[in-house]
Amino acid sequence: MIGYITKRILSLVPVMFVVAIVVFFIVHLSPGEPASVILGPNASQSEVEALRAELGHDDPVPVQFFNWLGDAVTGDLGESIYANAPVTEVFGQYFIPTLSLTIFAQILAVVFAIPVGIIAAIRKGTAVDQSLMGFSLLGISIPSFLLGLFLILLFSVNLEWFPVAGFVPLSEGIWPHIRSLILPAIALSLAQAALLVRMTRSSMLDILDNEYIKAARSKGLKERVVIYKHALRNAFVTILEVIGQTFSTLIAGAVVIEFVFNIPGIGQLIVNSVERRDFPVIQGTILLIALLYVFINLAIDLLYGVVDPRVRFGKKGD
Amino acid sequence: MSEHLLEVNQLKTHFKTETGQVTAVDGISFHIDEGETLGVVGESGCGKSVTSESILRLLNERKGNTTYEGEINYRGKDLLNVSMKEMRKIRGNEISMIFQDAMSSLNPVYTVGNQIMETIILHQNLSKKEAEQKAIDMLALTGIPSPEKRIHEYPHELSGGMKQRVMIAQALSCRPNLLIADEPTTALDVTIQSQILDLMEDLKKEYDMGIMFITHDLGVVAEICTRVIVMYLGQIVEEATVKDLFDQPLHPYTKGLIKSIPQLDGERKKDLFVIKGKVPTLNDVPKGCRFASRCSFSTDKCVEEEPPTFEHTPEHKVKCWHYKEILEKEGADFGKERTTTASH
Repeated sequence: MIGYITKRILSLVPVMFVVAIVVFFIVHLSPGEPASVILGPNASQSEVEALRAELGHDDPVPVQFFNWLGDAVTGDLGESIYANAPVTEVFGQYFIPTLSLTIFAQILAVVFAIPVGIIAAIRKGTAVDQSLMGFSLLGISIPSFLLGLFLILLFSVNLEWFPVAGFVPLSEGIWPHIRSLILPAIALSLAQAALLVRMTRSSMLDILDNEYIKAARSKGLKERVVIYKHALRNAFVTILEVIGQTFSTLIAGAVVIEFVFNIPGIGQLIVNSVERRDFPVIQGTILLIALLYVFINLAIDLLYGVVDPRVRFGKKGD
Repeated sequence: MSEHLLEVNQLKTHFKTETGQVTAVDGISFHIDEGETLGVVGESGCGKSVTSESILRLLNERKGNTTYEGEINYRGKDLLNVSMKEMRKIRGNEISMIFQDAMSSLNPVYTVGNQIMETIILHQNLSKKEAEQKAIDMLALTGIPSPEKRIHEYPHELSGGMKQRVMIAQALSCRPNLLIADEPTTALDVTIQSQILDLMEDLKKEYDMGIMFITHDLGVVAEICTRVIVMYLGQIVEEATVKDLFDQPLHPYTKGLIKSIPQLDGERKKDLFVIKGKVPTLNDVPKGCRFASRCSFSTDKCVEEEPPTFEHTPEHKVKCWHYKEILEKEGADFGKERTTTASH
């Protein structure tokens, strides 16, 4: 098991190297120059050149790349040109709202979608199943930003149950924090939840056809035990795969939702940094998000082993 | 209380399908006594498995896709009328089942110990610790080496024969009165098959239970069954003791089945005997005798009118209009002819 994890982590090195190359060169080959953006339109040519030299932007691009990469490996992603703070610190500050939102949305999707999917599977072909499937199709089809605006209109403007926009950090209390996240999390997770409902249903239907389900019933087990103990754990392999994919999709989707609800998250950080030509922040942020993706995938792969003994590694015997 | 352990009376099992209702089991009656092994024989699709699953009501009733008629009397209760709660107390406890494919009848994500213990804890008031010991004992009884290690293994870590032993251990863990074995040896190779059959014989004696043994292998029937019913397209066409069935089969279908067992001795070049034609589908059940279209003795009467079940002797019943004539013409020699060829 430990050997497997080490191998997986080592295989991340080339992946991250390629990501670093792509990120660095996209940023450096795009038009616009940090020095002149920082100093503004009234700066003289000599001032701009002096700043460029100071930032190290006069070196050949490959040299700049390896300098940056060398520092990045030691955990130093450079300093934000705009904020005068280390990139890691800026990232940390903006990442927390995004992480809160994503995790909350994911929990919402899982808690809601899996039971609904199971119900649809058990009631396959009935009116209950058909209406759940209808709603889930609707859920997949609504764009998240549009849903976000509808939610704001209904629950914030008309009913005044939730704040219209903004983010309250966890440090100001758990309820205000959750309250500020409910609407964006719903908007963000609905499409994923709807997808998860459909996947749970089809996966459960697949599993319920198996001989061991009939065998479990023949032992005299209650239907509840047959469904939740014998069927769900098997169906969970597929469900887990979908959860892994949706987690990545949620982070990407969070960028849009952050704008609709004015949450100071990673999405805002990236867009603002691109406008400011804050190269170190753009590079660092994308690199860290790529790293996060890769680790989520690794975590999901390891979870397969927990759920399904057939994919466990390095066990004695065969 | 009926005198038999299990008595099935005019059982009919209907399925609702997209093309209409089909009757997979059509009015069958039989009984099983304590300590006897009843063989249920027939080709694929003749309703053997549906019969066994009807007894435990494992077919999907909930959506109204499956409906039953008739009676299944078990210890004075009609299993078709008991509540699901009562049915669950019987399943796995008083009547257990072993399935054809042990590979797919064990849940891949739980250890075999967990799955055996689950049945034990459910039906007997044992602690987890006691249940584990019982599971180990049961595995030992089925001849699995180092059972205390095996209970922590997952089904994919065991061989096919081992898995079938685990299924047997699980099925017998609550000392059932009746064991339904649905082709338990079909998926196993021949040596393992005979080991499993011996094991079931031994355990039957030890537990004094009735066994309903479903198979399409007449060789297996000859080895372990006391009585046999032969099914064809949802009906019982012949019922006899094993000895009568092989010595003097009455129904042309049974004769065909026996004749089509490959012989090791005799002429090798001779083609295997094959019953001509194929089983009609359930959507298209013939009006008269269901075997008529494939039977070389069939007459207009067979095609027009369904034969009743005749009692040749009280223990030997057959559903054929012409069994007497056939018996007179050639049947009397059937058994002899066969035993002579076999003894060459």
